[in-house]
Amino acid sequence: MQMDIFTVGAGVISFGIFLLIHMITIRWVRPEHLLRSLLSCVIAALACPVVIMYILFAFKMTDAPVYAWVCAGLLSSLVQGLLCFVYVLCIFGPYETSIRMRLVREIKAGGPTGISLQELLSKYNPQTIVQVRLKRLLGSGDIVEKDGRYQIGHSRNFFFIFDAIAGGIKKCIGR
Amino acid sequence: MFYMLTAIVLFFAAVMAHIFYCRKSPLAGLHAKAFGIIAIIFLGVYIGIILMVDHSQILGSQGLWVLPFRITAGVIYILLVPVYLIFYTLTQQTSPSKKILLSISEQGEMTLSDIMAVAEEQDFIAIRLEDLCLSGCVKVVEGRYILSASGQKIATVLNIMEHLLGRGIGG
Repeated sequence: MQMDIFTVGAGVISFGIFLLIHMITIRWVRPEHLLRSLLSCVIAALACPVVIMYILFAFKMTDAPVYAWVCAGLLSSLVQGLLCFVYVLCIFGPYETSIRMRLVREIKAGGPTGISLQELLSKYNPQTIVQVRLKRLLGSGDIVEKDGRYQIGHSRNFFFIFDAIAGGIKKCIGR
Repeated sequence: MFYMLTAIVLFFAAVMAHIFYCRKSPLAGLHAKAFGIIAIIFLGVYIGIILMVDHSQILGSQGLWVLPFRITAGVIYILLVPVYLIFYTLTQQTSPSKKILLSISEQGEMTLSDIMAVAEEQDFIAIRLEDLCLSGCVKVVEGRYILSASGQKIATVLNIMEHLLGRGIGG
């Protein structure tokens, strides 16, 4: 039972450390370096649960065999990894990249009288969307530009992996 | 590991049940709430198993197989629910970044004007504005878009996040 609580605890504390590092560093990260910065932050934070479990093991916090500690370290990394994944894709991702969230904020900025479609499009339009995304994709190396023409940089990027998984689910659902 | 295996098997059973539900449902669109309910039912099954089944009677009391990670397995099960929902949502929504990448991948290479044409054809803004109106976050009054009470709440959360993250408007 104690080992179980240590495992979840190490995962949650490591996620807290990730959030702290992320909140401090993200202020200075340019949009084009966003994906790379997030990835480095997540990978660096994945080592935290292992370190925490090693400290608990070194101080003999509970009587358990070595393989149980190794297992606990791996599981707490999994808990932390899942927490990071959910945070990045459900909280930070929509805040940073969602068109809907941007529209909500533009409408809010319009005040109590709101905003007309023309006013909205003068502030946020397909050109803005493409420019922001091209910057991000070029920064992450997912696409490359050669003589004004854009080509795929990494053929195994997150978008294609996610698309393949979503495609598999869609195939199963049959719609 | 017995508990981990149980939680993972139950999670995949919940996904299978949801896929079966989606295939049989006459309603189009996302069935995310249905998965939430199915996942809660299977979580109940997991709690039932850890409370009622004495694994040491079946598997012995020592070894990797019987490490007591009951809570950890439950937490991993709970965290896998939004992970599945993220991929499930992607089956029906296309982000502009994904659309740009898929278009470039299909064409081999594209110019800026080709990419602009794809973005304009997709009409990302109009579709999402319509979604916001349908979901009740935004209402149209005399041709102007205004936030409803629920839209105001979302805007407040976004403001808090802006203070926390120190980053300006995204999009």
